Amino acid sequence: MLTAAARVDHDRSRTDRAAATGGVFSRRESDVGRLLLGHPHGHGVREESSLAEVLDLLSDEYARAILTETSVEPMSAKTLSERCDASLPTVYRRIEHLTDCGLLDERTQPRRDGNHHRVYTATLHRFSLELDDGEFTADVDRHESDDGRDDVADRFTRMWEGL
Amino acid sequence: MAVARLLTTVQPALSDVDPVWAGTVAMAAASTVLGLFIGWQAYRGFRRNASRSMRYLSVGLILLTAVTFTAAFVGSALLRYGYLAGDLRGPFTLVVRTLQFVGLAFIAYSLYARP
Repeated sequence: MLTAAARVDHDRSRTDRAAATGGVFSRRESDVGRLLLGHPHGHGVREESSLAEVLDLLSDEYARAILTETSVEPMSAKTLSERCDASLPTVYRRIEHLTDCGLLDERTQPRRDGNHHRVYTATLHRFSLELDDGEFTADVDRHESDDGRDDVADRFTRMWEGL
Repeated sequence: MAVARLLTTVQPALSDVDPVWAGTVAMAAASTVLGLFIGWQAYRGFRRNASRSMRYLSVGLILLTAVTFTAAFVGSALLRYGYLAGDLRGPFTLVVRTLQFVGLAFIAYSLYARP
C-alpha cells in the first residue's frame, strides 16, 4: 500500500491522471492523493484530508498503537502514554493528527473527583486502497461510534447549553 | 405496618372509586413518569458531557415531577385516611409548594450555569 503511494510520487507523468476518490463523497482531483474520506452516515463533509496524511499517520508506530488501544475501550491521553510507551507530548501530537483525519473521536467524561477528562475512541474500522485504471481509490470505513453524537441526551445537552 | 393498615383501608374503597379522582391520579402518575424520563435524559447528558447545567436541569426536573408528585400523593393519602391530622394540610401544602419552587430554581439556575 505504502510502496504504491510512494511510486506515484516519483512518477510525475502519471500523477496528473491519478486521482483518489473516497466513498460517498467521491470526487476527482488533479493533485494526487487528494481524497475525501467518505463517511457512511453522511457526517463526512468536515473530514477532508489527504491520502498522504492518512498514510503518513498509519505508517507511524505510535499512531497505530493509539488506534489499537482505543479500539478496545476509550482511553485518556495519560493512559495512552503509558500503554504505548510514548511521552505525553508525542501522544497529544498523534491524537491531534488522528482526530483531524477523523480516525479518532474525542469525548469528555466526568470523574469521581468532580473534574473531567478527555477520552479517545478509535473510529477507524477499515482503510482500503485500490489502484485501478490509473486511479487510486481510497476508502475509510468508520465505526458507528460516532453514535454518541446523535444520542438524545447529547442533543438535549447541546440544546440546553445553547439557550 | 402503617402501609399494611393503609392498604386495608384503601382496598374496600376500590369498589366505589371516583373516576375523576382515578383519572387525576393516572395523569399525575403519567406526568411523573414522563418528567422522570426527561430528567433521566438530562442526567445522562450530564454524565456523558460533564455538563454542569445538565446536572442542575436534571435535579430540577426530578424535584419538580417525581419528588413533588410523590410527596403530594403520599401526603394527601395520609390526610385523606386520617393518618395525618387535618390541621397539617396547610403546612403540608407549603412543603409541596416549596419543593416545586426549589425544582424551578434549579432549572432557572441551570440556564446560567456554564458547562
